[in-house]
Amino acid sequence: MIEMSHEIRGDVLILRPAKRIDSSTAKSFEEQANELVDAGPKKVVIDFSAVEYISSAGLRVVLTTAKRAKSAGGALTLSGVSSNVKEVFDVSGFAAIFGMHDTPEEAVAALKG
Amino acid sequence: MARTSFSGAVFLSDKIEMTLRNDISEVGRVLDAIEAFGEAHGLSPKAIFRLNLALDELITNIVSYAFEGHSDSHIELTVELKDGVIDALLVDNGKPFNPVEAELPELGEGLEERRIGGLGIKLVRTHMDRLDYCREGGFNRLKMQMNVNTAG
Repeated sequence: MIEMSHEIRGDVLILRPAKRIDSSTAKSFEEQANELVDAGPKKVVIDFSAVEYISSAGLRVVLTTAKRAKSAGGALTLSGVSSNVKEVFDVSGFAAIFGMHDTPEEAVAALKG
Repeated sequence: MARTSFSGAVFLSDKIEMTLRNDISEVGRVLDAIEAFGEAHGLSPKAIFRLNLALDELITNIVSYAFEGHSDSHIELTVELKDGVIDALLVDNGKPFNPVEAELPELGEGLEERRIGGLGIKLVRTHMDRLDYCREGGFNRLKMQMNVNTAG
């Protein structure tokens, strides 16, 4: 299991996974994210402020969540990505696809724009 | 000699030895053990991150693909710190797989075409300073080396 909190701010869903998204926690992250995106707003911010670690299994969940949001007419972007985690996004070429913002507020503003 | 048990791992001074089950939950146990080992030996968070990422990706591959169709799995991990260098050895009796020479598929452009396959191996190659693979007596043996000081 991964601990994840979330918040709905206007028409934007903010997901806040905790600490470590590795291949043993990615599945529960995916299930919770799917459920929240299906039930709630389709504009999604994943706030990585509390995330210290991500593997390719975690990246896969970010990708599938983004596709799910997009196919429902929404979009996904990221905030609060620490330098170690950002490096993983950079190696994968994901940083450019999703866009990265310092704070969830900036990410929410980007989705509204 | 200090001997501490954490997450089922035994620390004999500068060495971790773990026998792993063929189960994805073992990745969490390895990451816990590496974090504790790294902190006990003053490794930087960056060095711990890099080592964890490489081991996570490799063990995930083994558990996901190496033992399709047979249950007699042996997976062993050894991690040793010596003179500022981490030497790790991952041994398994699964299907032959050489991550050093495996061809990586194109990752694809854009959200729709983007693929994940092969990304784990790319991350391993990016974060380890040296990788040596051999197949010996029915076992994959992958040696990894990481200089902890250049890991930042």
